[in-house]
Amino acid sequence: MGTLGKLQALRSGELSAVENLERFLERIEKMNRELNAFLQLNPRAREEAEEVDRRIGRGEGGRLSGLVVAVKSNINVLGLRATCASRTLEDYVSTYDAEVITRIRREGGVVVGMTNMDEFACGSSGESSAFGPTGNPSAPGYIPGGSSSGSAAAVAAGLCDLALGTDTGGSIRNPASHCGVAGLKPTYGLVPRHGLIDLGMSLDQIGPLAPDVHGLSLLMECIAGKNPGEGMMLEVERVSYELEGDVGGMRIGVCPQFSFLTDPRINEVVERKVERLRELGAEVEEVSIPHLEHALSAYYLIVSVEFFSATRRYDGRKYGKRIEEVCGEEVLRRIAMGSYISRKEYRGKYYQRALQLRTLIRKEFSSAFRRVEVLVGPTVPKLPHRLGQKLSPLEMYAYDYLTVPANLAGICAGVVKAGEVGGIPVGIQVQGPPLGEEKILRVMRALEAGA
Amino acid sequence: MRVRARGEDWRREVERGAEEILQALSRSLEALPAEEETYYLPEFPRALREDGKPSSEGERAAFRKRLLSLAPSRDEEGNLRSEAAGWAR
Repeated sequence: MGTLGKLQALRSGELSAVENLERFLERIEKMNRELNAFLQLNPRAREEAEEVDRRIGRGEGGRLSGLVVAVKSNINVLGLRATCASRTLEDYVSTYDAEVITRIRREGGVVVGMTNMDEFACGSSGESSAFGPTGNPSAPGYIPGGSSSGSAAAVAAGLCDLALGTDTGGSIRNPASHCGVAGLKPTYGLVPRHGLIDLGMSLDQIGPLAPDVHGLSLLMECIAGKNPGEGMMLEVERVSYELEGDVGGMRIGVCPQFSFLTDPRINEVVERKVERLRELGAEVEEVSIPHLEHALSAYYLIVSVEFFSATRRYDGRKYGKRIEEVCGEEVLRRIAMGSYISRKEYRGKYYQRALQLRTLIRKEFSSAFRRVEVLVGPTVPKLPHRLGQKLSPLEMYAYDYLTVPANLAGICAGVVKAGEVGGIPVGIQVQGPPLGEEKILRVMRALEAGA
Repeated sequence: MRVRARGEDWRREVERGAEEILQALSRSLEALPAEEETYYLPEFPRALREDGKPSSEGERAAFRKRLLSLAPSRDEEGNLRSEAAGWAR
């Protein structure tokens, strides 16, 4: 049953919110020991589902009407632990709801629990959590991708209806691709960041993961739009998306730089989908992003500085565990890089230079979007490695080669399953201009419907 | 493996490796054309944002209770106990 079918069943009374929740709790009970997708379940979930049932009875079920939502552990949910999968925050119980959680509750969503992730979102594999790696239900034995590993795995394993992740350099799209689910990184400033524990404040966005494109669209319609208390938001009150439009006549771009460093088997899967779009009447055109290969360097310089700055809020505490003493290798590495840049930046060699490259990338994407409406291509340049296999830091960073440009440019980008290579899911990435969510969701829906 | 379990030598090795990665990333940007820097993506950050509605007395009391439950130390009246930084004395 797809998201719309489930919603219909909940609204019609064929399925109650409590029954829906209990089915998921049973599956979680059976599967989470192996998957490690959830770090904590919400002890009040049943009570919340009962309240949603009463609301549905009064005709006030909201847009989510009892759909069950999993939340990444770097988003504050009142009374639950926002650990960022780190020992340094393992005792931190959120004292408030993030704005996106307030909006989900208002629309009748039931928060089932907090999901696993790479520690402080510093990773692309789902292996660096202090509470153990997340499994990949769609490709057992392989990494699920990260950093929103638990959210993607929970959706893929059918442990929730929808999930929230966060995307700083691909952290929604990468695990969506490896787990074979749909994910969306919204335009920067479209979804409130209030209540999100930062990785890189100028890059982070909260976004949805779902089993289908309708699920992404529905959750976006609930969480997107201006929050009066936030400065870095776009002047957009609310969003509403029409997905069933024709893609015939749409100008769709493919970019040679996307495929240069990508595994040919992945390129083959993506090319078949591009061909499908042509068959549906889309006009496919080649465009260039000449400096794409430099985006990865700029991203890691920027995110290290911003992450170092964000972690200083934990500095000087006399309780709990100091981050530098209990963190894992990748968090320590990024703190060290950020600290080094902060001390040596006087010649503008690192951060300032990276911010200049960001301008260049923005200009190149803007230029591409003057010629085409969306860009399609692979999401991750290589297939996931086996859980536990040791990779060098630069090999690990290379997973983000095709996803970080969207964060640098602040544009929107989504992923939907395109096919498989040897039983491992491969996602196609659709990127659009700022506030181009409806266009990319429509292309993703067309690809999904033709799967 | 966590830092505390691995020890100081390992920490220094990670930090040394971080510096090497940083130099490699930085070198790859050296020859690119100079541009204006993009610090923030929204073109018009709303620095003077609107004030929200004040929370109710009940909400404030509940928040205070939750916050104090996380605090490391409180006095007999339930106030948060804090320590002045050495440099501020």
